[in-house]
Amino acid sequence: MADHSTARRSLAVLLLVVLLLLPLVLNNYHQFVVNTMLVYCLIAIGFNIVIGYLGQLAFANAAFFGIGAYATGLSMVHLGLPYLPAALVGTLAGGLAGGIVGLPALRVKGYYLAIITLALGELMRWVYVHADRVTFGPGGFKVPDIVFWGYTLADRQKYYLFLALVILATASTSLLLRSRFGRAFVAIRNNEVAAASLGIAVNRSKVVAFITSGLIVGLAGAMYAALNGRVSPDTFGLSQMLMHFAIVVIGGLGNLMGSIIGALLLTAAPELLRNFPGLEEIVFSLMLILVLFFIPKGLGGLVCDHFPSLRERLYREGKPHA
Amino acid sequence: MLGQLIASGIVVGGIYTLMALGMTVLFRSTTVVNFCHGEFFMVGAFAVLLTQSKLGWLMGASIVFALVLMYAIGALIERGLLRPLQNAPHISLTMMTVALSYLLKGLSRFFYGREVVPLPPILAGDPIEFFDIVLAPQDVLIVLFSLFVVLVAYWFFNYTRSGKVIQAASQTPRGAALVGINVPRLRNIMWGVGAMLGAMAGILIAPTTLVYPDMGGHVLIRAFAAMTLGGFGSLPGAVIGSMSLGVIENLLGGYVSSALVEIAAYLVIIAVLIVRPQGIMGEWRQGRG
Amino acid sequence: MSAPALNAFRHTAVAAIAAAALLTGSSATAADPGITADTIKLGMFAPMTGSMAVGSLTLLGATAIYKSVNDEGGINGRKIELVVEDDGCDPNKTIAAVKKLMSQDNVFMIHGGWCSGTALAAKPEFERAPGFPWMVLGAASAAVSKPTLPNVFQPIATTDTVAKAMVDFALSKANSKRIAIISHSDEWGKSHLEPLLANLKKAGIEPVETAYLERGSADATSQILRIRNAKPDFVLAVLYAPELTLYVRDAFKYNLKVPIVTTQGVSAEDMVKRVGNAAATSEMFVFYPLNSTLEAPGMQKWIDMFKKYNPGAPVETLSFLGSTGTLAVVEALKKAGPDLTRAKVIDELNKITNFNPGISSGSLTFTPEVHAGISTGKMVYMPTGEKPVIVDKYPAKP
Repeated sequence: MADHSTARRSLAVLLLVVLLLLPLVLNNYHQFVVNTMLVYCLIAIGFNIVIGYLGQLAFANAAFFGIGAYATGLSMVHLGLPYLPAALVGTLAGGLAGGIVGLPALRVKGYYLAIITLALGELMRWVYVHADRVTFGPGGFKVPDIVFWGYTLADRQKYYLFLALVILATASTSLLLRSRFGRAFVAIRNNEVAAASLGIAVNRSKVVAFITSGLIVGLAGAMYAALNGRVSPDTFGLSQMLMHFAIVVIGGLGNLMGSIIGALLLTAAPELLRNFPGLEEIVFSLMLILVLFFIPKGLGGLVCDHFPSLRERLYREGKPHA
Repeated sequence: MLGQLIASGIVVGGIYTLMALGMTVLFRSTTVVNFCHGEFFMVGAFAVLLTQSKLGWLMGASIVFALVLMYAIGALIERGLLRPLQNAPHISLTMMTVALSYLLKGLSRFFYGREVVPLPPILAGDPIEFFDIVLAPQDVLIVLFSLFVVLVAYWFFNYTRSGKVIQAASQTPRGAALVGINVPRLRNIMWGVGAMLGAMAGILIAPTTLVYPDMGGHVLIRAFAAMTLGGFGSLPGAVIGSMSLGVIENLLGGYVSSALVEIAAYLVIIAVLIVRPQGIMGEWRQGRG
Repeated sequence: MSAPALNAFRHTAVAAIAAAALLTGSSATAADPGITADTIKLGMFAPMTGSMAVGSLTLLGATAIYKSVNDEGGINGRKIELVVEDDGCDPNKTIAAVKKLMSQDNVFMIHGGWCSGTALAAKPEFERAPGFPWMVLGAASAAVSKPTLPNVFQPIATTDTVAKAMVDFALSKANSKRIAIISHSDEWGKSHLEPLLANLKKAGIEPVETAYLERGSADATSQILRIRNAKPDFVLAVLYAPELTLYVRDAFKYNLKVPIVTTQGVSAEDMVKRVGNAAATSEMFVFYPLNSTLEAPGMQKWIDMFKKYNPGAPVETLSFLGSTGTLAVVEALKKAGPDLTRAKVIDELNKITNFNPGISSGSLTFTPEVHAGISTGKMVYMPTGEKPVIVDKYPAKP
């Protein structure tokens, strides 16, 4: 038993060392892609909370992402905030949006929720375009450089910042999912009525799930603003939403490691497919279909099936049932 | 101006009606919300375009080909991709339609991403004027055709034996199977028909909007709004919702601001789901059988 | 080693690695990368896929010219090696593409950028590398070359230029006072709308109606009726081809028979074909970025070149939008001589004056202060639907 946990701890330390030393072997381009991967890890984790653990088909992820990015960038431009407070604003804005989406989620189910969240996402894009005195309209705006103590951050330093944020957010989410809230989410997903009969506060749990998702994806948005140095409305539309969806399904619903695997794979894939323009959508959709057919638990589920020690507490054994 | 806005709103509403009817038929037969219906719309238009321009076929032949093709695609999707997932969680079926939409769009972009191609109208000619309303012949065709489809659907579902059988199969599949109705085959037929309706909508509007891979997504969300407004799953609801949405879009654009035309559908969705989630005609629910 | 020494070593090693990791790595090279004895590596980026993939036509036009230069012997004994990246008209993808071209492919210079939003997203990369030459491919937003960066060159008529030309043209019609605008609300539309409004204001005019028509719309009734109610003398249209077709057809249908002037995003012949109604397009004036229409003999050699290297690709105005910029690059590379450096190329580009190979409607001039190379343009229209006519003032009716 002790050997098992020291083995796991050494593995974790080794992983950490590799992550810390990684930038030394990366050129500027690879560094940028790795930074993008970190952002998508958070996106996937945040989305998974609602669609994987809670089991609600809410397509608001791109909206949370956009709100986080816009709130962060705009507070730097209009209010002159330095990056970390602005990122906090972005995160909280995402959480607020999560709460707002969580409320109709209590009344409205299944496909209705999917439709209304899609509508909300498109509505937000219209707002970004038309409220141009605040949001700078369809062209978007430039995010000021991130400066710490007079030193402007380049891609390499952004990596360390992002890594710290991702580790923090993932750890918090993992803790949440291991708490009674996590168990409540999964209970609600499996059978809402039964969960209520067990004394689970269904409505409160749902709202908590949505707010957490909003916070995490809002933070991802704040990172995205820093990553590209530019925020514009077109980024946060339906194609972005489809990408999030593909990442989480292929990675594995209800599986944190799956989220990370999905994020890494689907961020790397477009870069690897650069020599085959136009195949990206086809490859992603085929992967989605294959996963839905043959690997419904996603790649993360596949890994956990074979390595029981990597499973989460809420891991689902056997074939998924209705 | 009011008359013209309403008249044009009804024309656009006709397209939404065809889309919403197709999606409602599919929803009733498989309880799946078909997120790739927009792509049926787009592929139908492309099929007509390609056979006309590359193979030089006549308009009539192209349309027939496109409809047959779409029927086949719809039936194939049901048989190959949806039926095997029948016992999976419901969410997987919806996700499969999302994946399909992605695939169809990617395929058409791969082959036709670089251009936006015009399609000649089915009915060309001078605009028709009455009172102070002007309509192009194609517009009139759209309205008449959608009315025709609505009437046929109404007659079929309520007055023919097959229609009632299909209604039974979708309302209580187990009960219907118990009395010997071949439920899977009916579902398959309904998917073919639904796909055909989506394609027809695309073919009718393509001369106006031109044919390009992204044309489906735009109409899809309008169809969702129409179904939500009219009552999800209700056939008369699909018609009422679609016509109303077309008119609302035009009225908002004409009297308030043209910037609102784009988001009219989203506002309708949000308003309906807050005020009266079941829509105008009320929701259709699958029974427990 | 003793335990304390081992610890000290560990701490120093960690500190050294950490310090190395935190410093931005850069190495100054003696010769510029991307050049070998017989090749020049040229990086390009444009939307090859995605909803704006039509922009790839401009890239294809440019690569046709580069390939033809190679076939004729290259530049000072070197052939041009092209590295083409897709930017999908997405800022994140564009930044990745530019970083790849700069840091991984180590190209000599970059010729790219079609969507203005992505060009602006890529601009900071070039701000950080002021010696790295960038010739813009097709992005027309004036913000790309304003404020001027030493290494960024924009060889296309910018939205400022187009907007001014449109307003001047509309006002050249006698007694033209009531002007209406119909535009997309996307970034392309906005980048025209702002200078349009500014130029109108300078002439003391406020538009009588500004309508928005979104991409993908199936109906323009409410927009057209509003414009009709405002009784304009001229309509300024900032629309892509599908929506412009919709507008022109429906405007004719609803009896809104007012002349239209529109941007370089469409081609007049193509529009006449799409609308299919010669009367409706008889007063549609298109900003013409090219020198002569596609049928003119002067364009034939460029059309043949395009077709030779891009069999099957559509031949449209967009295919030649970036051609003058391409020829400018070739010219600068030639003049910089066999001892090729980035600094020399930038120098030669700054010296380009009244460069006119016969493709663009204005001649190209770069100075160290102004890198927006084309500042004039004409309008083209097809009064009978048969032959295009180029004009620079509204043709007075006899």
